[in-house]
Amino acid sequence: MRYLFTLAARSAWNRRLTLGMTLIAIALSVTLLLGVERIRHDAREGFAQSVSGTDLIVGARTSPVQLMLYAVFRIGEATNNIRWQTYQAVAGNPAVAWAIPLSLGDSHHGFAVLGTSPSYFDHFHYGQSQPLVFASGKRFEGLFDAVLGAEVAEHLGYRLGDKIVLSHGMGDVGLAEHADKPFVVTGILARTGTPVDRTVHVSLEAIQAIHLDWQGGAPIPGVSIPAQYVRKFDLSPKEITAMLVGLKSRAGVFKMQRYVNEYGAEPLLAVLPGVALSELWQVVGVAERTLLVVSTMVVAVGLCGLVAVILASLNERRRELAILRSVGARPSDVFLLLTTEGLVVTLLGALLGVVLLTVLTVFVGPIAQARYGLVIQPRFVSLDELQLLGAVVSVGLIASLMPGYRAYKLSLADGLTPRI
Amino acid sequence: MLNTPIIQIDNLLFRWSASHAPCLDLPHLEINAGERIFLHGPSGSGKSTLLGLLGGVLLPERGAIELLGTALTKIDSAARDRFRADHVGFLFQQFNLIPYLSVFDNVLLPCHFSMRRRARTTAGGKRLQDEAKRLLDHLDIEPALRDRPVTQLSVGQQQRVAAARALIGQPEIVIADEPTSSLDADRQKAFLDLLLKECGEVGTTLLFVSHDHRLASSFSREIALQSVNQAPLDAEAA
Amino acid sequence: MKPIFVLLFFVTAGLITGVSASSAYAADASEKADYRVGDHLSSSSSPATAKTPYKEMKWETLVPADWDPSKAFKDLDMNALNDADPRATKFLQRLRDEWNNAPVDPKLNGARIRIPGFIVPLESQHNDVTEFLLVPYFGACIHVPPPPANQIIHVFPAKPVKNGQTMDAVWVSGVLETVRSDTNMGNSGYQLKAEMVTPYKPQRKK
Repeated sequence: MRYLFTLAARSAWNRRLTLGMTLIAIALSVTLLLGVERIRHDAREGFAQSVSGTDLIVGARTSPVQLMLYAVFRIGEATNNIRWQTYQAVAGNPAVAWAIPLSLGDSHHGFAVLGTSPSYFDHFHYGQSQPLVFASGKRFEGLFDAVLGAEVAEHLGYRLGDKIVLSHGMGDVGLAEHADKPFVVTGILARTGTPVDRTVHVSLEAIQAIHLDWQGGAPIPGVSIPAQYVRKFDLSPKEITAMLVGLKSRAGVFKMQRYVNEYGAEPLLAVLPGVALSELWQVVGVAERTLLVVSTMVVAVGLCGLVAVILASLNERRRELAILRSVGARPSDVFLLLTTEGLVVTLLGALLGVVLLTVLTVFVGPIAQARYGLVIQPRFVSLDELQLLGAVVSVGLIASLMPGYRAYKLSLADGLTPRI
Repeated sequence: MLNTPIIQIDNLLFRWSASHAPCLDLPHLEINAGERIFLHGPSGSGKSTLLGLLGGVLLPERGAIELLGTALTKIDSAARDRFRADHVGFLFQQFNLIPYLSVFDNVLLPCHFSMRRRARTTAGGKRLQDEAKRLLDHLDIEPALRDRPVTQLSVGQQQRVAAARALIGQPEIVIADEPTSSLDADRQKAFLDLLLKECGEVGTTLLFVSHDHRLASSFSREIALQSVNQAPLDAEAA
Repeated sequence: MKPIFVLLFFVTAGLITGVSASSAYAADASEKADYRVGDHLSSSSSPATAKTPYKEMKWETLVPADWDPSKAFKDLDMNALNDADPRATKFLQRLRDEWNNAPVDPKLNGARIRIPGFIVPLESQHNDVTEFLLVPYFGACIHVPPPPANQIIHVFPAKPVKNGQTMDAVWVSGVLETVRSDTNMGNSGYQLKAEMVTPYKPQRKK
């Protein structure tokens, strides 16, 4: 009956300090559970959205997952490079519609620098076959032009015309700089939600140019070629890190993959992005499942705490229950009262957990995006998350049956005059 | 006034468990409507058990209990709880009030469990709150106290609020289990007078249990449980 | 506390853990664990529904009847070859080239078929596959030689395949099309606009 609900609410409010602690415990555990699921879902989504319309990714022979990671996600480094002649051979294959060369290795304040050809801006697609769009400016034309991803420009506060200096190697601090050859920002890309945002794009020739007077990762002592003289040298690319390949017929991908994998002149690996991603999920899947089980146990711990608190309070409430019985409450009413209390706390805890999660997403989301390229959509609650919440509340209800039942038995035994 | 007794017990036998000696053995007990009964007996004489039986939370091993013509032993537990809600008001020795409800809500508690008492309270278009106020006035609870949390009231004030709760909705029977035993000696008489006055106004049958003989004079009849109960005197159920 | 409560407590805790763990595993559990490299799917394993207008297709049927790659090698006498003969390697290469240039059967253009196969995802959206290749045998892109062109179907599903993973076994139903690509390699292939993509449930072996 409705008044029981009022009684349960008032009673819970009366003990709000202890119940409040368990409520917070449940809320935090729900935040953890939903957060883990959300990150897992959004990370997968983010990774899958990073490349579209590309049939094969080709690089020096390594594991498919590693190739995907450095070529598309700019995580990790290549084991080896591939020669320019190899690129030309693959690009010239009649089955190939287009081939974009990628050269990685330099960085700028923690953001990866990508050397590529202008065709990158034509053929690279992401998400649902979305092309790259310029928020301002245009693609590089001059030798030392640079196109910035949206995150680079925003985080470092760059605008068109600014000068930037690239560093050698990937890392945050302590890198040698190509200080004598600054670049000019000629274009800034619109936000994509992919690693493109965190990349500085320059031409392949520029990469050659800045390494002219370098050898093995460090400047040659005593040798310094000023920027204005670099064009006198041969700046055609000699090596690249990887390439993105689009075919005329998508069904011919296996044939092309076979061709690349068996290419005699150099050890290569060609991967289908979709297949390599599946492999990545398999590797990551074990950790994901473990994390999910752990978060679920944390929820269980929170609920056990709630049950313990309610059970512990039962003894001092026997008088109160006797009063209720004296005005006509039945033992089943007492059962309902206690069970409802537990259920109400679980519900509120779950709700608070969702609120906490939303708040966290709003504040931590941008940081995650900036540092890890992980886009967490701020949304209230998805259908899958609702199912999880439903499961949490159901288990909370089942758990609350325990103190309810105990109160029921006590009430039967005590009648109107409990012995305290 | 009814001719049949409002409470009638015949041939009652109750024991707490099969291995125990009987706690209550009453061949006959009768209370008529409007009577004010002083039931006394020392601890262990079976007082609480009798109240539990009259309240319908306990069932005897054998015998009949009739309240207002209804045989409690012949109806199921839900019906007995309903009956108790509709027709009996209870007063205990102490800790009568629910700490997380206000004074008003404590007084109105029976109206949430009994439609009949609720109807009788609001009869004539009255609001629940007004009737509660009226009873509290009669029982000498000042308006200022009514907004305070019940835990801030003195024992005497709490007992009077509990009396209001027992009386709201005009139940036919009020059973008071040593309600003055926690009060100071000088307050006991005052409380008793208030209670008796209220019961007299509506014609409520009052069954007042106590071990303090000094209060007996205000009552219409005295019953010594020890003399009616044929079961041996023993400490009540383990 | 009474034993019943201790029991209830453990049952509840066990329920919570069990439900969560099993759902976590169920979400990722794939039937591909049951398949080995090279396994084909039997066409007759699905329950026949009288009202589907699709004709069940075997992969062999996709190969034109008049195509015989071994024709070119009828004159090859294995006994006449020496050990590690370079001619043997060349023949293998020619066989493979024939295989790669396998033609499609233009008579099948427009046929409404249903065929079982394994998924190789090409495009996906929100963890669902929106475009994929259907191949006849397990592991087709990983360990074994790829299938010839007339044994690969480029599928465009009407609705994205929920949680589609590489090498998931499915039934695909829809209209088959033969496509000529515009290179002078003579490449052509099969495409299919899939109206339905359903999981493949293997028949229990007796």
